[in-house]
Amino acid sequence: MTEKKEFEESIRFVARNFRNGALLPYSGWKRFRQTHRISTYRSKISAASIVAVVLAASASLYYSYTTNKDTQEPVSIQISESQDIEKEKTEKIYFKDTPLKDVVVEIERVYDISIINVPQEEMRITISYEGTASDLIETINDLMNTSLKIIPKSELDR
Amino acid sequence: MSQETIFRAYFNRYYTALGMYVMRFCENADEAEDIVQETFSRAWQRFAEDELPEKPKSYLYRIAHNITIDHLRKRKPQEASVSIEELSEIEISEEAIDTSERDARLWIAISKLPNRCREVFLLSKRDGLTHAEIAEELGISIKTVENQITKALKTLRDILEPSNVKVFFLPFL
Repeated sequence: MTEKKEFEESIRFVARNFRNGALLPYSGWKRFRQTHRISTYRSKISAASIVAVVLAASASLYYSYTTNKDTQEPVSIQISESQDIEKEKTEKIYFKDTPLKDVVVEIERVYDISIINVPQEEMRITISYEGTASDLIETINDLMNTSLKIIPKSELDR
Repeated sequence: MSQETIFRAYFNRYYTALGMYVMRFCENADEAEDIVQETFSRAWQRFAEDELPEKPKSYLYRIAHNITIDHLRKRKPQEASVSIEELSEIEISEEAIDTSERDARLWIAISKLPNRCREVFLLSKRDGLTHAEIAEELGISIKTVENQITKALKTLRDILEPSNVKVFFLPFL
């Protein structure tokens, strides 16, 4: 089959069966984790801090998350980028012991997006990241048990 | 790197693709997702016991394939379906895996389309409505419908461009 025919065949198949929200890794993982009661990264919090590594679909990162003002050495894992399954903007950001609210404002500026459901309680994060906005938000939600959601600015302008 | 981290990486990497593979045999996304969840449940048992399979990708597809056969048999217990029997003897081909990965990229790309764009695209490609019918249903111009479909198709074609594929290294692959 030629590439064009493969593309058309896949489009027909995927469109015919598509259901919004289904078969996506992020929501799938939430369901899986609930079923299997897999301990979340937050459950590894020590009295002072946690150090964890998460591999998102298109990024590699290391981070540390502190619940108080104590510092913690971050763990660095070098992993190649995964297969690029989306054509989103990829950016680099770095925050050190920064309130999540401020982190969100900067993410909005860098990626030119809007984010809703920002929690009001004080959460601080140290993170060095390179990747897409959606993976970054997915990672933060997963690690910090938040429900941040990206609203493309074009949606707000309609 | 913890077992959970490695497992999560495989989960993220193959969840949608396995769903696409399974969906070729079963009828809907919900059933496909149940099968994929069950696939990773079985895989998790091995990962949790530190028994990493030699070829995780092939392992995952084989489990999904076998669970799919079980589901189909349960759905049609009295049917001595040649297709189910044939399915149980099929070797999972590289072509089928490649197709599922291509389908997965498209599925995820469609999920990330702007809402209106996705809506127009699905009314056309899934529901078979004409541009005029879509325009009337959504109260927009035919030109807007054409533009949205063009935009969607361009986005989806770009997803499949070879330059967008990057190699993903995982231990034990």
